[in-house]
Amino acid sequence: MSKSGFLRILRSRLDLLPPEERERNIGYYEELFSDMMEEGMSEEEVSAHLGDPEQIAREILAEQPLPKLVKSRVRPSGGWTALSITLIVLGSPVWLPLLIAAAAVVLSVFVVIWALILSVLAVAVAVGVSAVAMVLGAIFGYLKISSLLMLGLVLICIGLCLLTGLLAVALGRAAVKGGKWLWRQIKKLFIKKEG
Amino acid sequence: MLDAQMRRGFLEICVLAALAREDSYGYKIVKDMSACVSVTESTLYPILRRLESAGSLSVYSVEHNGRLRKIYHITPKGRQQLRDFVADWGEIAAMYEFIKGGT
Repeated sequence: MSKSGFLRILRSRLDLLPPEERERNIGYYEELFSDMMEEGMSEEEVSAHLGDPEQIAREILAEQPLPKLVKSRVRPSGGWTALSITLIVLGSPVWLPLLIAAAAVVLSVFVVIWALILSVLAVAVAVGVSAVAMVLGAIFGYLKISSLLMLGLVLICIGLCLLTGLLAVALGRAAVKGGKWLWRQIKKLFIKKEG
Repeated sequence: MLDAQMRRGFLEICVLAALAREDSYGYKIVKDMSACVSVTESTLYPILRRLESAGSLSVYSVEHNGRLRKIYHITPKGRQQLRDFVADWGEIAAMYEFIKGGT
């Protein structure tokens, strides 16, 4: 790949970045071309050494904090014109409720998931407490059942407590993982740009 | 293979160490560092940017063969970071011994 081809791909893939940041990155690669070519490498050798510009651009974008990407993504290429600002303000009765509704749906899904996890945890605690209560009841003589039956019941309670407890922990982990994944997808939404 | 987060931290210190010897530019830093660690040009730049925004290094331009070359210069803050790292080495070495004892 030629120097100009390499830099062109890099520039087009980085057009999400603020212009200043983009030019800094391109300047760095431009300089590498000059330095390596001074050592006698050809343009093709340099670009082969540096690697795939698409991949390099993806890595650069992945390093950027999300607010920065969103800001440059949302901003029209010609800057904020009076027209676009007016349109956004006039359109707010339409897009604002939609945005709020979407956020509410996502939030409620999260609440439901965590409520479910909490209830499983509550079951674990309840079963654990009843095991303890049974033992105490037997010791103080409130519970008039055979000791063998009681032992069985206590063991069942302890087992259930451990199982549900583990289930709650596993669900909690999965929920955290899912949340992270979702966040990455949201971030990707802004990074990805084809055409 | 070093954990990515850890590797990044060490690379930052290596870059500062390279600049503590003399002011340098992108390609030369990569070449100088290749003596101790292989780092690609595309991994170096984000490190330089991070160090710059943290105030550990400054950038100036000099003319070279009719073009401008960006030169990176370590700041007093960067030198302090380097000294801190070296001073902390005892602690790191102790951790290493502890970890090794566990394998």
